[in-house]
Order: sequence, then C-alpha cells, then structure tokens
Amino acid sequence: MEDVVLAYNGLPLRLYTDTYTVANDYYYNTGELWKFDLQIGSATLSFSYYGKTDFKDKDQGKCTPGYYQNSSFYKYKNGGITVEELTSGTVIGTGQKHLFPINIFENNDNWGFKLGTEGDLIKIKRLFPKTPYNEYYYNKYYEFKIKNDPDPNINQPLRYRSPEDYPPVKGNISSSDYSKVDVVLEDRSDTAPEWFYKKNFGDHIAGWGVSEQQKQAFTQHNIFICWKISHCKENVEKLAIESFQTIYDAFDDKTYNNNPAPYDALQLCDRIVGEILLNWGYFYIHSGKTKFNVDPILPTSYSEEYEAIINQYYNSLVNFYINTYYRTAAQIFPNDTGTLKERSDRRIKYLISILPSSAIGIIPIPHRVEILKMLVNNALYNKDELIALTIIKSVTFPDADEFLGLLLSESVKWNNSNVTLFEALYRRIDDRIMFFGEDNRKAYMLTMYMLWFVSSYNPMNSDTDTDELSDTYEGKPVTLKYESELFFGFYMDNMNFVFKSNNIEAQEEKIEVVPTYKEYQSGIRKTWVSVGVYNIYQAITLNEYKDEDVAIKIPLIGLNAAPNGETQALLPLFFLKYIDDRGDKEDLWTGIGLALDVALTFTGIGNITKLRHLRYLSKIGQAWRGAITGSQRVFLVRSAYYSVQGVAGTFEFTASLTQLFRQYYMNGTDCATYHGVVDNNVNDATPEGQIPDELPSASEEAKKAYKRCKAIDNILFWMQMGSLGMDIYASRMIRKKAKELADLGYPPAWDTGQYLELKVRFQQLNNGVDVLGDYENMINLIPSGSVISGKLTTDIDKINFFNDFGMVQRDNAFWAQLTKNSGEAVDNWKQFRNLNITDEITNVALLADNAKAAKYIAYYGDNNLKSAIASLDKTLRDEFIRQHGHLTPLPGGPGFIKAWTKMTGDALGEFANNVPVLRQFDNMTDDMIDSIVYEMKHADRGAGVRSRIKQSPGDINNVMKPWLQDPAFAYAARDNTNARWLDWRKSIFAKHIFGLGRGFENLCTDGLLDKNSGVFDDVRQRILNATQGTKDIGNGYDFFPSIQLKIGNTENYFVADQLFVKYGVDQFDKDIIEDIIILETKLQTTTNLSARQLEALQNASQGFNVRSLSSASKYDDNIRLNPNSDKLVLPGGASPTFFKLFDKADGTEIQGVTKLN
Amino acid sequence: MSDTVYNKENFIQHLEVLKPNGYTLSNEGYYYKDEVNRKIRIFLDADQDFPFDVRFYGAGVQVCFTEVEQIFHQVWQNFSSLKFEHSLNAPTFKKGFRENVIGTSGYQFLLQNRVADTASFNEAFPYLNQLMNASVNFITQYTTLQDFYNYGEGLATGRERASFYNQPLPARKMIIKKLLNISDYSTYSTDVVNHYNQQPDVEEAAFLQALKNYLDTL
Repeated sequence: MEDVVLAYNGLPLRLYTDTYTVANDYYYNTGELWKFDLQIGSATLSFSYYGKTDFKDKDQGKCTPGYYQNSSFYKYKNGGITVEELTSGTVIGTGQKHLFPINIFENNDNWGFKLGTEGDLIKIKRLFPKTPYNEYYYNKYYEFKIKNDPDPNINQPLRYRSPEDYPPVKGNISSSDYSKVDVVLEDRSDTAPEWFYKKNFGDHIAGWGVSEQQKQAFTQHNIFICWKISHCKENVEKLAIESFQTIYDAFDDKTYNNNPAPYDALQLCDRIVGEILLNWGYFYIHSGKTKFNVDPILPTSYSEEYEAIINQYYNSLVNFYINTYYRTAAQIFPNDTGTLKERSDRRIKYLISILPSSAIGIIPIPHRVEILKMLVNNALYNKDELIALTIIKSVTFPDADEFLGLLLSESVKWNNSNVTLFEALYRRIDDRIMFFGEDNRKAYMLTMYMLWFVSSYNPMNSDTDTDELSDTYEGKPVTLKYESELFFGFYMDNMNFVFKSNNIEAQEEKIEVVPTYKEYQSGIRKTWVSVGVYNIYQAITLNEYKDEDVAIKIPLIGLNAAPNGETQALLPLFFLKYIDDRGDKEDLWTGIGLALDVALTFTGIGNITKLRHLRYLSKIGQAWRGAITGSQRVFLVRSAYYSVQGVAGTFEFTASLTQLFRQYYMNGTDCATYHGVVDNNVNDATPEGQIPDELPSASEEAKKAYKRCKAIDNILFWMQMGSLGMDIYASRMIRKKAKELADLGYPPAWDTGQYLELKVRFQQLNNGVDVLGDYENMINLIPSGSVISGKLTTDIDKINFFNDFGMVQRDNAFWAQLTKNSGEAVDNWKQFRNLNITDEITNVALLADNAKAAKYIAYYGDNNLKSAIASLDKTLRDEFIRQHGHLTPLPGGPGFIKAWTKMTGDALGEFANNVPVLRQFDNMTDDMIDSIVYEMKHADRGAGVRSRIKQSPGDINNVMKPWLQDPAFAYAARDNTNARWLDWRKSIFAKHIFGLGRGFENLCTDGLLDKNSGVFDDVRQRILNATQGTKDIGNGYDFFPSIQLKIGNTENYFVADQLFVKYGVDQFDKDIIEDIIILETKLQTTTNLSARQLEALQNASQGFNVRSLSSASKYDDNIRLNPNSDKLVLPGGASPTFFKLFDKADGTEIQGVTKLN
Repeated sequence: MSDTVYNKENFIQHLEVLKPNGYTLSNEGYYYKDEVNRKIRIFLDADQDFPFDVRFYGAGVQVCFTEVEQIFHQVWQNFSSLKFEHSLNAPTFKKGFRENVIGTSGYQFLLQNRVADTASFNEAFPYLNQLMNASVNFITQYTTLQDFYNYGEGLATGRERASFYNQPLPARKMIIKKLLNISDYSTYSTDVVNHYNQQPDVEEAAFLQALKNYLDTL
C-alpha cells in the first residue's frame, strides 16, 4: 500500500517510486497537488502547476497547463525562453525538461509520475468553510483506498475530480474499502492572516442576512485573501528601502510615542509599504498584539457590492503577487542609485508601472494621492503621465468621493503659488495634440468624468443632498450660455474657463460698442466678463445648446429620464473647460472622436441605473424622444466604399423608421423574452454580464425569435455608435446584422400592418448592400483610361486594392493623387504592400509624395532597420522620417532609431537631430542604449556626459561602451581614464561599474598579502609550474599591488595589478634586482590585455620607472619604491616576466595562470 | 555597496586630520617640511582604489639631504644612459614604519579594514596616529647627515643598509663620506670605482668614476 495524492486533473499519483521521490509538496485548497520538489538520484527539481492564466496573455491560446520546472517558468516569464520552448518538452541540461511529462496515457518517460493502483491510500485535504465561519480556517481531511483501476466503464485511469467521486466513509485502515473524513481547525493562531480574517470578516459574518451558501462563498474568498496576504508580505518588502523593523519603529514612534520625526523621515515608498503591512496585521502581530489593532479595511457589513469589492481586492493581491514574485529586488532595481527620494520615487513609479490599475487598489487612496503629488512636482513625460493615469484609473467607484475630494483639498507648489492637485494634474498631463504623444489629458478627463458621474458631486445621485458640496451649488446645476461656431475649420466660442484656486471661473465674451477718442467714430471692444466662480466639480447645463454647433459633441444626460421629458446637457464644469480648451485647437472630426470616447467610457460603467440616461447621448436617443421626427435622417448606412456619385450603396434610417423599429423592439411582445434574458444577465450586480447566444430549452421558433431580437438589439446599438461618428464601422456591423436577420427570416409580425415597412426597408438594406458586388462597383469607379487599371495586373493586386481602398473616401482628389506622375502612388502602394508598411498602406497623401514615400521604402527595405522603423508609432515614425529620412548612407543599424526614440521630445531632444551622436548607437543592444541614455539623462552626471558627447560623439563607443560592456576592463584601465571623463570616474556610477570588475583583482591581491593563505599557495604553485620551478614568489620576493609603472623611457604607463621584485645586494650594499614578476588579473582566459599592458609587455626589456607615489613592499616596510628614482630593470636586458591570472568569470576563484613572455 | 564614493579629495581630507605640526600636506597626499639642509617627506602608505576606498598599511619617512643630492645630480646629469633616474628632491635615506610600531595585529587590522568614509577612518585612526608619531619622532631624533650616516652604519645587514639608503647606495655613500670627512673616503671610493669597473654596466662605472673625480676636487 502506497500513499498517493491527486494531480491537478484528478489522477492519483504515487509520491515515492524507484526513480523519483516527491518532497516539499503543497496542495490547492481543493486538494490537488500544486507544487513539489522532485528528487531523481542526486538532482532536485522544483515544479509547480501553472494554469492558463499564469502564462503571458499572448500565449494563453497556445499554452498547455501542467507542472513546469519553476526555474524554466521564471525564465519564460522573464523572456528567456519562448512558450514553445517551455511547453515542447525539450530536454534541457542533463535529461531535464521544462515541462513535467504528466501525460499519463503515454507514460513512457522514466521519471514520469506513476499512477496509484488498487489498495493505495489516497490522502486529500480540502478547504472547508465551516459554520459559523468565524475561525481561520478549517480543512477537511479525506483518506480512502483506491478500489479499482482503471475505471472499467471508460477504460481509462480512475480520476477523483471532486468529493462526489470519493467513496463513502466506511471500514478501517485494513479493509479494502476504507474511507474516512475528518474536519480539522488548522493552527494559524497569532498570525497576521488570522488577525486579518477575523478583523475584516470572521467577527462580523454572524449578523449578515445572507444565505449559508453565500456565507460559505464569502468565507472561502476571505481565506483566499488571507493566504495571498501571507504570500505577499515579502514581496511588498522588496519595494521598501528601509527594513521592516525600521518602518515599524517609525510607525510606532509616531502613533504611540508622540514622536513623528522617524515617520516623517521615511520615504513615501516606505510609508506605503508600512501602511499596507499595518492594514494586513503584521504590525499588530509584531507588537505582541499590544498595538496597531487597526480598523478593518474590507466592508464589515453586507451590501450588494460586497462580493465585487472582495473580488477586486483579491485580484489586486494576485496581480501584485504575480508581478513581484518572479523578480528579486536586485532585478527590479538594478541601478538603485541616487538620493533616498530618487530611490523612493523609482520604487513607486515601478510599483505603479508594473501593476494594472486594479492591483493598485492595495495602496490606500491618500497614498495614491501622495504619489500623484510626487509625480506632478516634475514635468511629466509620457511615461510618467501614464503612471499618473494608471493611478487615477485605479480609483474605484466607492472611492470616488474621497479621491475627488483629495484632488481639491491637496495642493502643490506651482511657480510661486499653490494650486489644487486637480489643476496641477490638468496642467502636467498633456494631450500634445500639435506634436506627437498620447491623448493622455483626454484619458484623465474621461476618467474624472466617470468618477464624477458616480460620485456625490453629481446632483443626479440621490445622496447628493447630504454632501457638503450640495451647499456649494445648492444641489442645482448652473446654466451657461455656451455657444460655439465653426470658423475656418476651428471652433470659436463665447466662453473661457480659468482655474482659480479650488474653482473654475467661467468668463463670457462681452462685446461693447464704445466711443473712441474721435467723437464721430465708435469701436468694438471685446472683453471677458466673469459670469461666476464655481467649484471645479460643479454640475452645469448648457442653455440654448445646439449639439451640431459645438466642437465636441456633448453627451446629453437627462435630468429627467422620462422620454419626452425635459432634457438638458449635464456635465461637470471641469469637463466643459476641457472641451473648450481642446475645441479651440481641433477640427470637427477629432471632436466627434471625443464624443465616442465619452460613450465608450460610460459603457465601461456597466448597466448601472444611471447609465439609462445615456440613451439620450445620441441622435437615436433624440429620435426616441421625438426630438427629431419624420424624414429627418438618424443614420446613413454606407456601403463598404464611398462612391463618387454619393448615393449608391447607402441606406437611410430616418427618424420615423427608427421610431417604428424601436416600437417593434420595445413595445411588441416578440422581444419580451429577449429583454428578460438581458435583464437577468446584465444588471447592476453583474454589469459585465454576457447575453447568451442561444435561448436554452425553448422551441425552435422561440429560439429563432430570440436570435432575431438580438440582431435587432445589435443594430440599434450600432446605430447609436454610428450616430456618434463611427459610421463606417457601424455601417459594416449593421449590414452584417441585417444579413443575419434576413437569414433567420424576418419576424412574422413584419408581414402585415405597420411593421411591413420594416420588412420592406430591411430587404432594401440587404439588397442594396451587395458585398460581392462591392469590388466590381469600386473598380468600375476608377476613371477610365487611368494609369491605375494598368498597374493592377493580377487578381491579387485587385483584391488588395479593394481591401485597402474600399473604405477610403474616394473623391476626385483621391483619384488625382493616385494617378498623378504616371501613377507613382500606385507603384509606391505596391512597394508599401511588399514591405508590409501596413499602417500607412492607405495614406494616399504619403503614397503620392514620391520623395517621402521613397524614404519609407528605403528604411523598410533595409533588413537591419526594418523592424526598428516599423515598431515606431505612426506619428513618431513620420517625425523620424522627416528628420532622418534623407540620410546617406542610412543608419548602420537599428540602434540609431531606437536611440532617437529615447531622445526625441525628451530632455535629450537636442540630440535627436545630432546624426554623429545617433550613429554611435547604430549597432548597440537595447540594454546598452538604455544604459547610455540613462547616463545622459542622469540628474547629477547627465550634464557632464551630454557636454562631452556633444564635443566628441566617439566617446560613446570609445569610453562609455567599454565601461558598460566590460566592468573588469574598466576597472583594470581605471587609471588610464580619458582626462575629460575624470569626473565620471569619480562618480558613484564608476564605483558601481568598477565594483563589478574589481572582485577578482581584490581576491588575488588580498590573498597574496598573506603568505600563509590558500591564494598565495595557489598562485605560487601555478607560477612554479609555469616556469619549471625557477620562479618562487615565496622565496625572497617583495610584493607591491596595483603599481603604476612607466613604460621604457616614455610617460606612458600601465598598472601592474601585482608586482613581485626579488632584491639582492652586492658587496657594496647596492640593490641588485634579481627578478621581476608582473601579474595581470583577468576575468577570463580570453580577456585581452589592455593596450597599455600590451605595450608594457612588448617593451619589458627596457624596464619600468615607478610612477606611483612612494609605496612599500607588503612583505617588508623598509623596501620602498619611489617615483622618478627607482627603475625596475633586470641586468643584461632581461625582461620581467608577465603572467595573466584569470578566473571563471565570476571573480571568486583562480582558474588558471598563463605566462605571457 | 554603499551609495557614497570615496575619492582623492576625501582621502586628502582625512590626511589633513593627521598632519603633524610644522608640516604641509601636498596635493599628492604626503606631508613635507623643507629645512635648511634637508627636505623631509612623510608618507602614510595607502593602496588607493578610488572611488571605493584606500587601504592604509604603514608609514615611511624620506629625507633628502640637499647637499648630497645636489652633488649627485650635478654628476648624474652628464650620464643620460644610466638605468636610474634622479631629481634634486630624491631622498637620500628612507625608512618604513609598520609592525615595529603597531605590531602584526595593527598591520592586519589596517589591511582588513579599508577606509571608505569617516567612520572607517576613525577606526583606523589610532594606528595611523601611532605610525605618524613614530615617523615624526624618528625625524626629530635623527637630524644631521652624521646622525643618518651613523644610523646606517649601525644596521646589521647589507640588506638593511640597502633599504635605508636610496639606491644606488655606493654613489651616495661616497658623497656622504666625503662631506662628513669620514676617514676611509679615499679607500671606499677607490674600491667602489674599481669594483664597478669590473661590472658589465659601463655607464654606471663611468658615473661613479666621474663622481669620485668630482668629490676628489672638493
């Protein structure tokens, strides 16, 4: 009888066999084996189960869940091997594999798991949420014997997937059908997770009016949270600068000793770490349970959001764990230099940048605000803007009030005054529309809008009356007369919005006719008159608002949700300011894009009650409300192409048709079932719910009706999206769904009466959109006799042409662009296709610009440069081509482009046009580029580095790269540092680099200081062996480490890492140098001597003058070498003997010695 | 690795703390005092490894008797192929201080405790102070050329004398015997010249001959 356990797939496995032994085994809460060490002979391999979600997102479709060697999986997570290599079962090293061969059905590997067989004893431990759920925590222990193998019914090995598969309790251990179950309270007393469990859940659950099933589910969730907390503690500490004890003491002093100084001295990252550990109970336990018994951080009473909140918290922990577990602190912060504040900022930025917004939830809101304050203290480049945005997006709806409040109450220095954090973020986070960059401010505003929408600041929310903000604007919105008109492509408006302390001042343009100095003339004077100063979060409505007239489509959120009731635009004042600021700079099309973004932003809220108002957002909403009627167009369904004639292939949804369509959908009985399914699946509790594709358990006809209604619902949705500006895509989707509707058969109700029109019109829609005819239609539109047709010689060309240009608006200008200069644009288009310049393939203006297109083709045609240029964002690439498209010759490698991207638009912008500098990067690795750019940007050293690079770009490869590439070389050559770089040589950076290189030299020198050491004996023997016993450094030699020696009679010098001199005296007490040995330490046998060392070796017979300051022998303090006095020269022109002493490249052990002359 | 650097300026600052009265600290990192007839240099021996640290390991005294070195230089400068160099500041005598002052344990302490900041300097300070005191006391105790000559003659072995004199010893000893009117100057100088005339280094033999010729004229 063997002990067996269950694998992740329920198969019983033996832990001990002749070929392997399992040790350090851990199990899932459901009893299956999770991770273990496998001992095979003298080898120990560590495995864990990795499910799909453990793999990188992009690999989840092609991965195989199973047991993988942890080291292999970490390597995979860190990019060292591909998923294919990981999962292929490739043999690595001596018979090991990444993937454990757990395929039981083909168990032919000599160390695959062996299955348990009849009579073997299975032991399983499963988490057991036990009433009254106040203890942390119970397990159920199952123990039973395998009865039969394999399962005769399926002729496969027996599997135990759940307790239902376990045999009933019976017999005793000696009987063949033995099975028993025990419930055990695990001893976790006096641990932080136990405290957390009870504090946040166990002490409160008894009073909750929820079902036992829910209580069990919540218990399990909370236990999972506690387990994850216990695993995350050490990962949290990786992000701290100070130790746990130091952080604890600072909190202790502040809280209990009335001494806030140590806490104030902590860096923000340490405060955040402390706050997290405090909330998890680690301070409480550390204090011996006498202090820090702080309040719970999870809800202690039940509400509808409870499950969502604890799920979110658990997911935050999981994300945090995954993102930090695979990295050591040294890997996370390899160049952890600078001031404490810089190190803290680095940690916080790292923390925020690696974590998804949801995981940032573990950082308390006030600290997130602190981080934002830290970020806005400096100019934000895109990366920092994204970090700020990540934090802002991490704020969940329940925290919206607190977060919005802090953005107003917290202030930061701005020039010589204080501004709110809200304003500082607004100023720092930039759309950079006129240059390149992300629409980050837009993202900021949309997120803030969403938070505002669900917050108490929104007067539509019922609890606003109790909020103190309601006093500010008396719970009512302000009405503004905001008008806007198009003027030469730009929108001019009549209002201006200016930040003023915690408020925004709304100013209205006032035009006055005023007398001038000549009485008979008058003039116009425009002034801005304040119409009021309002809180930034003040809700406003717009008076006489005409949505087609403003730059940005403003979402119409009804104050009264009833159809045909009063509707007004309602939005927070800060968003109007943003619309106004942005509208001044933008054309109509971008403006429409913003309106769509607003819609999509709110879609993310889910189907919460408030979202119902959003149906007023679009024209379709207006049609429903009756705001537009009759033949007014709601939406024009376009064909897959624009026609010159303008009408063919389009289909118009008029207001009356839309109303009829909606009436059928909303009021008829046909879609009532569908509505019920939607309500059941997508509601406030499950806003992200999915609507099933099929109606289960229904008649065929009911299923068909259900599908029809879903298609109609989709059409309505896309009409709404389309009316917000996404018309081409919406048109495609509507046509697709209309086709589905036709294929299902139109609803019987459409055969007669008022709905007959719907059938007729949808038939027209389907007939008018002949996808197969699209190509011929378009080809027919190519102006006859143009050069285009002649260039589309193959079917592939024609199909490609249709695919690429079918969606492009093809007016006369389009054809003119394509046909000019004998159709160069078409030729370029073909080349772009061949070179896969996909994101510019329809850029007709570029294709027609032959000179510019040639630059693209040149870069993409160069195999060295192609992937680098292709990886650039379109705008950035265009800017690169503008600056460097003309280069002859082209850059020698992708490093040129990569370096440019790191410099352009940045603090290093002055180098983005400096071709000699950029060429230095041609063939550099990304890491090397990053390292050099880091130095160029460095707060302390950067200015000097930049200045030298400007003077001498070659220094990048001649000075910086060798240092960064070969620390051992840099250390050996440190005393020959180029004079212009001496301040670099003195820097902490040099210390870091040298530190990597000096290990071996120190090992040798320190060992040679002591004649009784192992190192001395080792070196002595190696030299004896290399010289056939003629040179014995243990006999009469003096020892001088790290001596500068001048070569021959020149001023050139080198550093002898270890110098041995054997002195004798003649009868007149004159020194006779009997022998000289010079050792140079090198990390590897293949490491060459430096140029100076080589020169010294070649001229050794001339001897060396001492350059170092007075030095004494380490073996005799009276034997001293003096500069410009002592010359180390052997009698008779003999040469000192050079040796290279090398190790295994890790600086820890002498590997060998080579005699060089 | 600490996030501070230790460069030569830090080293100089620490040397300043140990500077004896009446001495000046040079930019190169040694103490000097120029008197009428001699130039004194005191070195705190240290392996310098900037920007990491220094490893102190002893002290050394060098005394340049100007009259000796002037004579040496005057003759030396006519022999360009000599295998040793010379300057007017070259030491005439040199002596080290280490285990004889701070013991083997003190030496081992210094070897194993590099100075990278003020804290580590303070730990090494007692030993360095002893070494400095010994150096200064030696200079104070032995002042004249005669004192140094006598000290050298009192040394037990040729190896010790060879270390005490700056090499080449025979040339300097010839000069000193002449300047001090030591009675065996003539015998000594003649023996030296004769001996080195038999050696392969003809340039050195010529130098010693020229030196004797010069000294004989004094």
